[in-house]
Amino acid sequence: MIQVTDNHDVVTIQLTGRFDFRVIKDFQELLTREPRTWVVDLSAVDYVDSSALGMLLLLRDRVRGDAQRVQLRGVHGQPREVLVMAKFDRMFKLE
Amino acid sequence: MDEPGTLTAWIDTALAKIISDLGRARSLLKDAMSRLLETFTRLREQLLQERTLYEVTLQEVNGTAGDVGLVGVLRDVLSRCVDDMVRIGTSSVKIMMEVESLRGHTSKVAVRGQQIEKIASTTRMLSLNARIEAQRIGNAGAVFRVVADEIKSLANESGELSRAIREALAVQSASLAQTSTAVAKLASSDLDHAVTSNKKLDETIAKLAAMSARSLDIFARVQAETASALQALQFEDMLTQLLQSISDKLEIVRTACKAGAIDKLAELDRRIHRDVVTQHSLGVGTVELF
Repeated sequence: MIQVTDNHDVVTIQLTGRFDFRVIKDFQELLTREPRTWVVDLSAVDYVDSSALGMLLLLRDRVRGDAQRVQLRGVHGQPREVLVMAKFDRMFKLE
Repeated sequence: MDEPGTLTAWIDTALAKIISDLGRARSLLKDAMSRLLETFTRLREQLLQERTLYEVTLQEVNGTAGDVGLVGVLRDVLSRCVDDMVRIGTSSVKIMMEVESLRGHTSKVAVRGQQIEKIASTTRMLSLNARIEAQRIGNAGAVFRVVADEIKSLANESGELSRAIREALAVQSASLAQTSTAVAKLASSDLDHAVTSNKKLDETIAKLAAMSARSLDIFARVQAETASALQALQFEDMLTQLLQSISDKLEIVRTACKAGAIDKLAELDRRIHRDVVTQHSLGVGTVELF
Protein backbone atom coordinates (compact mmCIF):
# COMPACT_ATOMS: atom_id res chain seq x y z
CA MET A 1 0.00 0.00 0.00
CA ILE A 2 1.18 3.50 -0.80
CA GLN A 3 0.15 6.87 0.60
CA VAL A 4 1.43 10.16 -0.80
CA THR A 5 1.61 13.59 0.84
CA ASP A 6 2.54 16.42 -1.50
CA ASN A 7 3.24 19.92 -0.22
CA HIS A 8 5.00 20.97 -3.46
CA ASP A 9 8.41 21.32 -1.85
CA VAL A 10 8.42 17.86 -0.33
CA VAL A 11 6.64 14.74 -1.54
CA THR A 12 6.40 12.09 1.15
CA ILE A 13 5.74 8.52 0.02
CA GLN A 14 4.59 6.25 2.81
CA LEU A 15 4.65 2.54 2.05
CA THR A 16 3.23 -0.35 4.04
CA GLY A 17 4.05 -4.08 3.95
CA ARG A 18 5.87 -5.23 0.82
CA PHE A 19 7.59 -2.66 -1.38
CA ASP A 20 7.61 -4.47 -4.76
CA PHE A 21 6.45 -4.31 -8.41
CA ARG A 22 2.81 -3.82 -7.37
CA VAL A 23 3.39 -0.11 -6.72
CA ILE A 24 5.10 0.58 -10.07
CA LYS A 25 2.00 2.36 -11.48
CA ASP A 26 1.88 4.65 -8.42
CA PHE A 27 5.56 5.44 -8.81
CA GLN A 28 5.08 6.12 -12.50
CA GLU A 29 2.52 8.78 -11.61
CA LEU A 30 4.80 10.16 -8.88
CA LEU A 31 7.71 10.54 -11.30
CA THR A 32 5.76 13.20 -13.18
CA ARG A 33 6.03 15.50 -10.14
CA GLU A 34 8.96 17.80 -9.50
CA PRO A 35 9.37 18.48 -5.79
CA ARG A 36 12.52 19.83 -4.17
CA THR A 37 12.83 16.74 -1.95
CA TRP A 38 11.48 13.21 -1.95
CA VAL A 39 10.96 11.43 1.36
CA VAL A 40 10.34 7.68 1.18
CA ASP A 41 9.08 6.40 4.52
CA LEU A 42 9.91 2.70 4.89
CA SER A 43 9.18 2.40 8.61
CA ALA A 44 6.15 0.16 7.89
CA VAL A 45 7.88 -1.84 5.13
CA ASP A 46 9.13 -5.32 5.97
CA TYR A 47 10.23 -6.51 2.51
CA VAL A 48 11.81 -5.01 -0.58
CA ASP A 49 12.71 -6.72 -3.86
CA SER A 50 14.90 -5.67 -6.79
CA SER A 51 12.05 -3.71 -8.42
CA ALA A 52 11.81 -1.54 -5.27
CA LEU A 53 15.51 -0.74 -5.63
CA GLY A 54 14.88 0.04 -9.30
CA MET A 55 12.07 2.47 -8.39
CA LEU A 56 14.32 4.20 -5.84
CA LEU A 57 17.06 4.56 -8.47
CA LEU A 58 14.52 6.13 -10.86
CA LEU A 59 13.61 8.64 -8.13
CA ARG A 60 17.31 9.38 -7.75
CA ASP A 61 17.65 9.88 -11.52
CA ARG A 62 14.75 12.32 -11.27
CA VAL A 63 16.87 14.57 -9.01
CA ARG A 64 20.01 13.95 -11.10
CA GLY A 65 21.67 11.83 -8.42
CA ASP A 66 21.51 14.42 -5.65
CA ALA A 67 21.52 12.13 -2.58
CA GLN A 68 20.30 14.94 -0.33
CA ARG A 69 17.08 15.23 -2.29
CA VAL A 70 15.95 11.63 -1.75
CA GLN A 71 15.67 10.60 1.88
CA LEU A 72 14.87 7.07 2.95
CA ARG A 73 13.34 7.08 6.43
CA GLY A 74 12.65 4.33 8.97
CA VAL A 75 14.81 1.77 7.15
CA HIS A 76 15.06 -1.40 9.23
CA GLY A 77 15.17 -5.23 9.08
CA GLN A 78 15.26 -6.92 5.67
CA PRO A 79 14.95 -3.61 3.73
CA ARG A 80 18.04 -2.25 5.55
CA GLU A 81 20.06 -5.43 4.90
CA VAL A 82 19.16 -5.40 1.20
CA LEU A 83 19.78 -1.66 0.77
CA VAL A 84 23.16 -1.81 2.52
CA MET A 85 24.24 -4.87 0.52
CA ALA A 86 23.27 -3.08 -2.73
CA LYS A 87 25.38 -0.10 -1.49
CA PHE A 88 22.33 2.18 -1.44
CA ASP A 89 23.60 3.68 1.81
CA ARG A 90 26.25 5.40 -0.37
CA MET A 91 23.70 6.68 -2.90
CA PHE A 92 20.87 7.81 -0.62
CA LYS A 93 20.43 9.52 2.69
CA LEU A 94 19.42 6.59 4.89
CA GLU A 95 17.73 7.45 8.18
CA MET B 1 95.42 -67.82 47.40
CA ASP B 2 95.28 -65.44 50.42
CA GLU B 3 91.98 -63.67 51.28
CA PRO B 4 93.01 -60.03 50.36
CA GLY B 5 94.37 -61.30 47.04
CA THR B 6 91.08 -63.07 46.26
CA LEU B 7 89.08 -59.96 47.15
CA THR B 8 91.32 -57.74 45.02
CA ALA B 9 90.94 -60.11 42.07
CA TRP B 10 87.15 -60.20 42.51
CA ILE B 11 86.94 -56.36 42.75
CA ASP B 12 89.11 -56.05 39.64
CA THR B 13 86.86 -58.42 37.67
CA ALA B 14 83.71 -56.67 38.91
CA LEU B 15 85.10 -53.28 38.00
CA ALA B 16 86.10 -54.54 34.56
CA LYS B 17 82.51 -55.77 34.05
CA ILE B 18 81.01 -52.46 35.26
CA ILE B 19 83.36 -50.51 32.99
CA SER B 20 82.35 -52.73 30.07
CA ASP B 21 78.63 -52.20 30.88
CA LEU B 22 79.18 -48.48 31.09
CA GLY B 23 80.84 -48.62 27.66
CA ARG B 24 77.78 -50.41 26.24
CA ALA B 25 75.45 -47.94 27.96
CA ARG B 26 77.43 -45.06 26.45
CA SER B 27 77.26 -46.64 23.01
CA LEU B 28 73.47 -47.31 23.27
CA LEU B 29 72.87 -43.82 24.58
CA LYS B 30 74.87 -42.27 21.77
CA ASP B 31 72.94 -44.27 19.20
CA ALA B 32 69.52 -43.47 20.71
CA MET B 33 70.35 -39.80 21.11
CA SER B 34 71.64 -39.63 17.56
CA ARG B 35 68.39 -41.11 16.21
CA LEU B 36 66.29 -38.79 18.36
CA LEU B 37 68.29 -35.83 17.15
CA GLU B 38 67.75 -36.86 13.52
CA THR B 39 64.02 -37.38 14.10
CA PHE B 40 63.52 -34.04 15.83
CA THR B 41 65.59 -32.24 13.21
CA ARG B 42 63.38 -33.72 10.46
CA LEU B 43 60.28 -32.87 12.51
CA ARG B 44 61.45 -29.27 12.81
CA GLU B 45 62.03 -29.06 9.02
CA GLN B 46 58.61 -30.60 8.27
CA LEU B 47 56.94 -28.22 10.71
CA LEU B 48 58.61 -25.30 8.95
CA GLN B 49 57.42 -26.57 5.55
CA GLU B 50 53.93 -27.19 6.95
CA ARG B 51 53.75 -23.71 8.41
CA THR B 52 54.96 -22.12 5.17
CA LEU B 53 52.34 -24.07 3.17
CA TYR B 54 49.65 -23.09 5.66
CA GLU B 55 50.62 -19.42 5.46
CA VAL B 56 50.62 -19.53 1.65
CA THR B 57 47.15 -21.15 1.71
CA LEU B 58 45.92 -18.47 4.12
CA GLN B 59 47.25 -15.78 1.79
CA GLU B 60 45.47 -17.45 -1.14
CA VAL B 61 42.22 -17.37 0.83
CA ASN B 62 42.50 -13.98 2.54
CA GLY B 63 44.58 -12.20 -0.09
CA THR B 64 47.59 -9.92 0.22
CA ALA B 65 48.36 -6.30 -0.59
CA GLY B 66 48.43 -7.01 -4.32
CA ASP B 67 45.88 -9.82 -4.50
CA VAL B 68 42.27 -9.91 -3.26
CA GLY B 69 42.37 -13.67 -2.57
CA LEU B 70 39.50 -16.16 -2.66
CA VAL B 71 37.46 -14.19 -0.11
CA GLY B 72 37.84 -11.02 -2.19
CA VAL B 73 36.82 -12.87 -5.37
CA LEU B 74 33.72 -14.29 -3.67
CA ARG B 75 32.76 -10.85 -2.35
CA ASP B 76 33.28 -9.38 -5.80
CA VAL B 77 31.13 -12.09 -7.46
CA LEU B 78 28.36 -11.55 -4.89
CA SER B 79 28.56 -7.77 -5.30
CA ARG B 80 28.42 -8.06 -9.12
CA CYS B 81 25.47 -10.45 -8.83
CA VAL B 82 23.58 -7.94 -6.65
CA ASP B 83 24.52 -5.07 -9.00
CA ASP B 84 23.16 -7.09 -11.95
CA MET B 85 19.94 -7.87 -10.09
CA VAL B 86 19.46 -4.17 -9.29
CA ARG B 87 20.23 -3.24 -12.90
CA ILE B 88 17.74 -5.82 -14.21
CA GLY B 89 15.20 -4.59 -11.63
CA THR B 90 15.63 -0.97 -12.74
CA SER B 91 15.42 -1.79 -16.45
CA SER B 92 12.38 -3.99 -15.87
CA VAL B 93 10.64 -1.22 -13.93
CA LYS B 94 11.32 1.15 -16.82
CA ILE B 95 9.93 -1.42 -19.30
CA MET B 96 6.85 -1.94 -17.13
CA MET B 97 6.26 1.79 -17.01
CA GLU B 98 6.62 2.00 -20.81
CA VAL B 99 4.22 -0.93 -21.22
CA GLU B 100 1.73 0.79 -18.91
CA SER B 101 2.02 3.96 -21.03
CA LEU B 102 1.41 1.89 -24.18
CA ARG B 103 -1.62 0.26 -22.57
CA GLY B 104 -2.95 3.73 -21.74
CA HIS B 105 -2.44 4.89 -25.33
CA THR B 106 -4.11 1.70 -26.63
CA SER B 107 -7.16 2.35 -24.45
CA LYS B 108 -7.38 5.92 -25.75
CA VAL B 109 -7.15 4.73 -29.37
CA ALA B 110 -9.85 2.11 -28.63
CA VAL B 111 -12.13 4.88 -27.31
CA ARG B 112 -11.52 6.92 -30.48
CA GLY B 113 -12.38 3.82 -32.53
CA GLN B 114 -15.68 3.47 -30.67
CA GLN B 115 -16.39 7.14 -31.44
CA ILE B 116 -15.67 6.51 -35.14
CA GLU B 117 -18.03 3.51 -35.08
CA LYS B 118 -20.69 5.71 -33.52
CA ILE B 119 -20.19 8.33 -36.24
CA ALA B 120 -20.45 5.61 -38.91
CA SER B 121 -23.68 4.37 -37.36
CA THR B 122 -25.11 7.91 -37.30
CA THR B 123 -23.97 8.43 -40.91
CA ARG B 124 -25.75 5.20 -41.92
CA MET B 125 -28.94 6.47 -40.29
CA LEU B 126 -28.59 9.82 -42.09
CA SER B 127 -28.03 8.11 -45.47
CA LEU B 128 -31.10 5.94 -44.85
CA ASN B 129 -33.19 9.04 -44.14
CA ALA B 130 -31.81 10.76 -47.23
CA ARG B 131 -32.70 7.71 -49.37
CA ILE B 132 -36.28 7.72 -47.98
CA GLU B 133 -36.56 11.44 -48.78
CA ALA B 134 -35.14 10.92 -52.29
CA GLN B 135 -37.62 8.09 -52.89
CA ARG B 136 -40.46 10.32 -51.75
CA ILE B 137 -39.71 13.08 -54.26
CA GLY B 138 -39.63 10.58 -57.16
CA ASN B 139 -37.48 10.96 -60.27
CA ALA B 140 -36.07 14.30 -59.07
CA GLY B 141 -34.50 12.51 -56.11
CA ALA B 142 -32.72 9.81 -58.16
CA VAL B 143 -29.33 11.55 -57.90
CA PHE B 144 -29.71 12.01 -54.12
CA ARG B 145 -30.61 8.32 -53.84
CA VAL B 146 -27.27 7.38 -55.47
CA VAL B 147 -25.37 9.77 -53.16
CA ALA B 148 -27.22 8.40 -50.13
CA ASP B 149 -26.28 4.83 -51.15
CA GLU B 150 -22.62 5.85 -51.55
CA ILE B 151 -22.60 7.51 -48.14
CA LYS B 152 -24.15 4.39 -46.61
CA SER B 153 -21.51 2.23 -48.27
CA LEU B 154 -18.70 4.50 -46.96
CA ALA B 155 -20.24 4.48 -43.46
CA ASN B 156 -20.33 0.65 -43.56
CA GLU B 157 -16.71 0.47 -44.65
CA SER B 158 -15.68 2.97 -41.99
CA GLY B 159 -17.58 0.98 -39.33
CA GLU B 160 -15.96 -2.29 -40.46
CA LEU B 161 -12.52 -0.69 -40.40
CA SER B 162 -13.11 0.69 -36.89
CA ARG B 163 -14.25 -2.73 -35.66
CA ALA B 164 -11.12 -4.35 -37.17
CA ILE B 165 -8.91 -1.73 -35.47
CA ARG B 166 -10.76 -2.25 -32.16
CA GLU B 167 -10.20 -6.02 -32.38
CA ALA B 168 -6.51 -5.53 -33.23
CA LEU B 169 -6.17 -3.16 -30.29
CA ALA B 170 -7.82 -5.74 -28.00
CA VAL B 171 -5.22 -8.33 -29.10
CA GLN B 172 -2.43 -5.79 -28.58
CA SER B 173 -3.79 -4.86 -25.16
CA ALA B 174 -3.86 -8.53 -24.10
CA SER B 175 -0.31 -8.96 -25.39
CA LEU B 176 0.86 -5.89 -23.44
CA ALA B 177 -0.80 -7.25 -20.29
CA GLN B 178 1.13 -10.53 -20.75
CA THR B 179 4.36 -8.59 -21.32
CA SER B 180 3.70 -6.58 -18.17
CA THR B 181 3.21 -9.79 -16.13
CA ALA B 182 6.38 -11.36 -17.54
CA VAL B 183 8.46 -8.22 -16.90
CA ALA B 184 7.01 -7.95 -13.38
CA LYS B 185 8.47 -11.40 -12.64
CA LEU B 186 11.82 -10.25 -14.01
CA ALA B 187 11.66 -7.04 -11.99
CA SER B 188 10.93 -8.65 -8.66
CA SER B 189 14.02 -10.70 -7.87
CA ASP B 190 14.28 -11.82 -4.29
CA LEU B 191 17.52 -10.43 -2.80
CA ASP B 192 17.18 -12.36 0.48
CA HIS B 193 19.34 -15.19 -0.86
CA ALA B 194 22.16 -12.76 -1.63
CA VAL B 195 21.83 -11.24 1.87
CA THR B 196 22.00 -14.73 3.43
CA SER B 197 25.03 -15.66 1.29
CA ASN B 198 26.78 -12.45 2.33
CA LYS B 199 26.13 -13.20 6.01
CA LYS B 200 27.38 -16.78 5.59
CA LEU B 201 30.52 -15.47 3.91
CA ASP B 202 31.15 -13.09 6.83
CA GLU B 203 30.60 -15.92 9.34
CA THR B 204 32.93 -18.25 7.43
CA ILE B 205 35.64 -15.56 7.27
CA ALA B 206 35.34 -14.97 11.02
CA LYS B 207 35.55 -18.74 11.72
CA LEU B 208 38.52 -19.04 9.37
CA ALA B 209 40.31 -16.17 11.12
CA ALA B 210 39.75 -17.79 14.54
CA MET B 211 40.94 -21.18 13.25
CA SER B 212 44.00 -19.59 11.63
CA ALA B 213 44.96 -17.83 14.84
CA ARG B 214 44.56 -21.09 16.78
CA SER B 215 46.51 -23.13 14.20
CA LEU B 216 49.36 -20.60 14.10
CA ASP B 217 49.46 -20.64 17.91
CA ILE B 218 49.66 -24.47 17.89
CA PHE B 219 52.39 -24.34 15.22
CA ALA B 220 54.38 -21.86 17.33
CA ARG B 221 54.03 -24.01 20.45
CA VAL B 222 55.02 -27.24 18.65
CA GLN B 223 58.00 -25.42 17.12
CA ALA B 224 59.05 -24.16 20.57
CA GLU B 225 58.69 -27.67 22.03
CA THR B 226 60.75 -29.14 19.18
CA ALA B 227 63.45 -26.51 19.64
CA SER B 228 63.51 -27.28 23.36
CA ALA B 229 63.80 -31.04 22.65
CA LEU B 230 66.62 -30.41 20.18
CA GLN B 231 68.42 -28.26 22.75
CA ALA B 232 68.02 -31.00 25.37
CA LEU B 233 69.37 -33.63 22.95
CA GLN B 234 72.52 -31.54 22.49
CA PHE B 235 73.44 -32.49 26.10
CA GLU B 236 74.15 -36.00 24.81
CA ASP B 237 77.87 -35.08 24.53
CA MET B 238 77.92 -34.06 28.16
CA LEU B 239 76.27 -37.32 29.21
CA THR B 240 78.69 -39.40 27.11
CA GLN B 241 81.62 -37.55 28.65
CA LEU B 242 80.23 -38.12 32.12
CA LEU B 243 79.87 -41.86 31.45
CA GLN B 244 83.39 -41.93 30.02
CA SER B 245 84.64 -40.11 33.13
CA ILE B 246 82.90 -42.71 35.37
CA SER B 247 84.61 -45.51 33.38
CA ASP B 248 87.98 -43.75 33.71
CA LYS B 249 87.51 -43.32 37.46
CA LEU B 250 86.63 -46.99 37.81
CA GLU B 251 89.84 -47.80 35.91
CA ILE B 252 91.69 -45.62 38.46
CA VAL B 253 90.03 -47.65 41.25
CA ARG B 254 91.17 -50.85 39.48
CA THR B 255 94.73 -49.44 39.29
CA ALA B 256 94.57 -48.48 43.00
CA CYS B 257 93.59 -52.04 43.88
CA LYS B 258 96.62 -53.51 42.17
CA ALA B 259 99.81 -54.28 44.12
CA GLY B 260 102.34 -51.49 44.44
CA ALA B 261 99.85 -48.70 43.82
CA ILE B 262 99.94 -47.47 47.39
CA ASP B 263 102.64 -44.93 46.51
CA LYS B 264 100.53 -43.43 43.75
CA LEU B 265 97.36 -42.97 45.86
CA ALA B 266 97.76 -39.19 46.16
CA GLU B 267 97.93 -38.82 42.36
CA LEU B 268 95.05 -41.29 41.85
CA ASP B 269 92.95 -39.43 44.45
CA ARG B 270 93.46 -36.16 42.57
CA ARG B 271 92.32 -37.79 39.32
CA ILE B 272 89.30 -39.36 41.02
CA HIS B 273 88.09 -36.00 42.30
CA ARG B 274 88.47 -34.16 39.03
CA ASP B 275 85.02 -33.44 37.47
CA VAL B 276 84.88 -33.20 33.69
CA VAL B 277 81.19 -32.15 33.81
CA THR B 278 79.91 -29.70 36.43
CA GLN B 279 76.29 -29.80 35.16
CA HIS B 280 73.54 -31.02 37.51
CA SER B 281 70.61 -30.18 35.19
CA LEU B 282 69.94 -29.10 31.56
CA GLY B 283 70.55 -25.51 32.59
CA VAL B 284 73.83 -23.62 32.41
CA GLY B 285 77.01 -25.53 33.23
CA THR B 286 80.53 -26.21 32.02
CA VAL B 287 82.09 -29.15 30.21
CA GLU B 288 85.79 -29.81 30.41
CA LEU B 289 86.89 -30.34 26.85
CA PHE B 290 89.48 -33.01 26.26
